[in-house]
Amino acid sequence: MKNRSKLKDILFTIAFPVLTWAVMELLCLIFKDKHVIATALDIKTVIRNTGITAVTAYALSFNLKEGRFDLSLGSQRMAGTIIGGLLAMALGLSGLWLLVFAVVFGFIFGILTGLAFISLRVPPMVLGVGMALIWEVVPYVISGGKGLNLFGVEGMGILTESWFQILVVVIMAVLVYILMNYTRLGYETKAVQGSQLIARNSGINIFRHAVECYALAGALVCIAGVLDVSFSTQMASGLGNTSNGVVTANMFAMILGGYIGERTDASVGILDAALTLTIFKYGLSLMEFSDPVNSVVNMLIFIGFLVFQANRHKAALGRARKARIELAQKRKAEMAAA
Amino acid sequence: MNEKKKANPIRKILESRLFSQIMPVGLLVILTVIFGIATKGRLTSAASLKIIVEQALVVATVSTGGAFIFASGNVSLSLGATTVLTATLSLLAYNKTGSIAVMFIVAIGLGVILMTVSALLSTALGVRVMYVTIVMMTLLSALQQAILGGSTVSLPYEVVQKLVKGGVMYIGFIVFFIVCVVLFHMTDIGRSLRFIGTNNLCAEQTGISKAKYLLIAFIIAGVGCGIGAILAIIRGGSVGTSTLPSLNMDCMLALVLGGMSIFGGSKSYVYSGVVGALTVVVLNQGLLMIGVDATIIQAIRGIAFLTLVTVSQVRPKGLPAPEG
Repeated sequence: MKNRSKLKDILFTIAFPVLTWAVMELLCLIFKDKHVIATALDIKTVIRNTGITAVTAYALSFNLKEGRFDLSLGSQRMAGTIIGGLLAMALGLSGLWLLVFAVVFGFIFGILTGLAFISLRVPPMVLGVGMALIWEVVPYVISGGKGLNLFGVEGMGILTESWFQILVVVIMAVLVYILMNYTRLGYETKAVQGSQLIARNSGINIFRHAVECYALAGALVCIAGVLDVSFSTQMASGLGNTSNGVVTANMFAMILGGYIGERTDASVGILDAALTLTIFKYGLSLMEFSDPVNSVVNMLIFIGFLVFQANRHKAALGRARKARIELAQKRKAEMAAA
Repeated sequence: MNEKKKANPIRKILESRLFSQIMPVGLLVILTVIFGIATKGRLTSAASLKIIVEQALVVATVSTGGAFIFASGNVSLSLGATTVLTATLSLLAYNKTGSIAVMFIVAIGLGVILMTVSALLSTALGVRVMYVTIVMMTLLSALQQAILGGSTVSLPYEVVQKLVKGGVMYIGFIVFFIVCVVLFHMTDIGRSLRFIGTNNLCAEQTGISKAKYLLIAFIIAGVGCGIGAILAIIRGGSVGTSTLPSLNMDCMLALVLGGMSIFGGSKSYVYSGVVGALTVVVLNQGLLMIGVDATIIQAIRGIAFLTLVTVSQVRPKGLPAPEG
């Protein structure tokens, strides 16, 4: 029985962003004579980027937890956000409606991808590549290749408000927490995570469950898209399977969040990891690391973390093996003495 | 339970070895004939066919190497990023030294090193192949952007001409292809990889080391990426961040169109990459020539890809297993 105190777990969770901030603060002071977070704008940027990273990681987690990597998630994000945005603008509605429409379209694209998965039954990554090629075309054709441009559009101000962004992210975190801990979906996710075959044999409808995961992922990733476009005011309609970069870049937050969440909950862990990585990236950009270099550093650390994740059980296994041998030797000695 | 299943004759034909061997070549011929007629012979003119072959060479080379990985039931999404980064660094090596030989050595050496790193991350360090391939794809693309910034690196025009006239593109591809055919169809390497792709567990229990053969597959794919990088340099004359953006997808599409099962195994053929690459180019060029919008072509490629993947596999009763 593990008997960790709650306080220890909370400290472990807090340690990630706090230590990252401390290290980056030190580096920024030494090399650039700057603070990582010095102005209200810095706080706003960190909040927004944390929100985008966290919501994208939540979206990824619905499928990735069960071993499915949906490579079309980026195209769903692009399609849902652009179509939702264009519709809201055409109807003269506010930013809130843009968010609602984007979520609805994301949900629809997610359902369609999920239905394709359970119908064709090809490996998720392969399906994702094919679906991305198809989904990328949809916003391109609808927007005439122009994508979405919110610059100067009235009524979109609410999307840029920090309180609104925090509210959206907190609602998403609570929603994911409830979904994963108190609903049938969460129960089924844990079962499928263990073994898809056993889950199916025990009566779980794995097909319906997969479609639900795809649908929720599609809806969530479009929220991240809206948060992103609210700041940049533009979203280009890219082709050639280029849409997924923004999603794969957030995979680290999902994996790190899963690790941190072992002590608390995955929804808390992902939010914590998103904040940690945002502070880290923000610190690097303050030290004038270009975006690609920032990406390289992040990916190298991610690889290091994956290696750690894949091998961390080995030390415990070694200790258990040693203890077993010692016990056997002791027993043998006792039997010999008797 | 002793249920007798009635074999669906269409399914039986689709799953037969002969069909998987004939179908890709047949598809290529049918597409060429259809587009040849639709374009009133423009597609099948000597000049067009030469362009089609030259366009297909890079994808054919990289996917021929990639066939070794796919045969083992694994999917690599970092072939494109590896090729482009290799092309960038080998061109920089040429600019530094002025030596074609150095450029060739750097290209092949770097292709092998990058793919070996990918292989070792999963075989020696235990990281899931799915994560490795995605992370490497992102890392290598970012690395290329970090090196180049917004600029491009070029090979002098006279050097490009010398290499084109010397037939380096064709020689490079043909030599690599012949070596791959021998390794894949006439040695233990190909047999073992196909066995691993057919039944991983059974292969390991008969003494085949999955880690060893996966490493070999990645090394061969790395050589393919290196040669593909050289061909891309010769064909384009320069490399930038927007060079070959869809190479990965094209390679996967080529392998599937060429008759390779996405699950690997016994129905894997090393020539799939070549037949498939030609089919991809004929499809693209043919559709363009009859006036289909380039945007719509992308959707058609997506639909064709998913249709062929679905047709070429035995539909599982449940959902595909977690990995991949």
